[in-house]
Amino acid sequence: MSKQHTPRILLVNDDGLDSIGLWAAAQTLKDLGEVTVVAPSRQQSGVGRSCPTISTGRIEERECAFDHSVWKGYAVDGTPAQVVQHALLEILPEPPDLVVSGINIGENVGDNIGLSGTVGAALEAASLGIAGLAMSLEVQHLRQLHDPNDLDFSVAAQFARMFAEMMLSRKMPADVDVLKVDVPHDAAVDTPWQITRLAARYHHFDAPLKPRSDWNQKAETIFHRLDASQQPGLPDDSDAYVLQVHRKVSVTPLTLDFSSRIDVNDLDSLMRK
Amino acid sequence: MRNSYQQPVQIVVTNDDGVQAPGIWAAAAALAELGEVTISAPRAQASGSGRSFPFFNDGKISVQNVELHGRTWQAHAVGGTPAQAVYHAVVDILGRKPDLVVSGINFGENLGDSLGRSGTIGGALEAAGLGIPALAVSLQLKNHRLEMSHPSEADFATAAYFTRFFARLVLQKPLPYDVDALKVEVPYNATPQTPWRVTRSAARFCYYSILPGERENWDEPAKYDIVRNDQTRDGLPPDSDVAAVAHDHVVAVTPLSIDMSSRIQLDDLSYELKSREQA
Repeated sequence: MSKQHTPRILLVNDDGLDSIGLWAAAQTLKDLGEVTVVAPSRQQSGVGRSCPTISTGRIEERECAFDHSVWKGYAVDGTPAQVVQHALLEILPEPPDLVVSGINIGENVGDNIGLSGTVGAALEAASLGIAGLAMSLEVQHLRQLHDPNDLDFSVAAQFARMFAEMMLSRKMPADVDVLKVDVPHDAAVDTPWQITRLAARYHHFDAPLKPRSDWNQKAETIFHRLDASQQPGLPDDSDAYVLQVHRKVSVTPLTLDFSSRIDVNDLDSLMRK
Repeated sequence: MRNSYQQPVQIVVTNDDGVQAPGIWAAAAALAELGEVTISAPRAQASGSGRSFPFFNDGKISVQNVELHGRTWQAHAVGGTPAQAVYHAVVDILGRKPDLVVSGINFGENLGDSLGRSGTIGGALEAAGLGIPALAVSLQLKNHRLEMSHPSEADFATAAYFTRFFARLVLQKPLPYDVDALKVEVPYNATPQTPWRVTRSAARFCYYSILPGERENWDEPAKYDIVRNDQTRDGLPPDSDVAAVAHDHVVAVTPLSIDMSSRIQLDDLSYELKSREQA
């Protein structure tokens, strides 16, 4: 580690302070430095980087027991992005060196990861100038998204430590604001990793609406998952393909910059034609 | 206007300030000159929603009749975020993709690093994700504090003019590759004669920061404030949206992509991380 001081790591998630994925990461990250755990007080999946004004931002200090050790944790009434803001501005005495978000229950792949609270927290950290690492574990069965007790986060937690160490050792290259890491459910510690891009126009967790006879009924969705091997034209270096088909750990560099990859002057002349 | 199937163009209008906000009505009235307008917006204020899609929202849709400019409009109030209002417009209300989705006119600019948190931008990006051309329009606040500004429909006249102008432009020709949405920011003092400029997003320029205010105790609700950080050009890219709106007072048009992948060669990053792994 090039840093002289003990690295400070902020650990957050979107599944809430009770999630076993959060504490699995805490156990391995503590080898690298001082870990502070701050998480939403309730499940916050699908909230992206949103910062709704209805959140109260109340903070409660709790004792959390996991795997024979007792940790101090902070529960915040807010989204993962708001958790990051409160942690940086109210809880931590000094800015951390790294923000780790996860380990999420369920993979975050495809270009609609803007919905992911796990990724949203890492992007919020990046926006406040702190490197962000968003960790997710693929589920084998969809039911595990709601019933994760038989999931084993130990391998994903090893990868969390490995990538956290890489990010702590030196600044990331330009335009790499966040690393998004997705670990296959059947990965071992020696499973290879590969740098990937987001699968374009790929809604991995597809949730079409159930038909309803009346718009006054609550909208319900039929949740299912696409199979990357069955998607013609999906690039073999995309996150969904590498995770689902190659069964490798997918590592996707993400940017905060929504600007299109186009020359500003070219677009200007096109629009003035 | 007619689309490539020679049918009247279909435009969905959404926002994040809610279906009753004056900005969405200014947009709807301006866009009605171009085609058939369907209004589908959150039934309550949904600022700060980003592109979020929380499953705890109910997705219920109620139709409200609103009298405006001598005609009765049907507005669809959706129990959800702007992204969900767009989704329900396509799936439930129209049953097909419209030719254009317009999100706005938002009361308050969306500049710098606030894009990922903006419901206005989120609504447009959701449309883009569904393969629909999208426009997100925002009007700069005159005062630096939201509660000090009281918008009326009249304040949106110039922004409505530019909404129609850029909507027509997007409908006339397809946007180039990786331009999934256009973000338009109108200065508070703009007129229809104000020039416009194509800009980049000043993505790492902290613009709005929601800061927890003073509180005695963490049991109390946090006090949120909006801080603007655009008073100086220091560190500000000259071709950025912030420079255009906050300093040069021109309309800023920023092409947006839904691809959040970094602009880096995958092999280069792979080499870089492998060297760290072995260190």
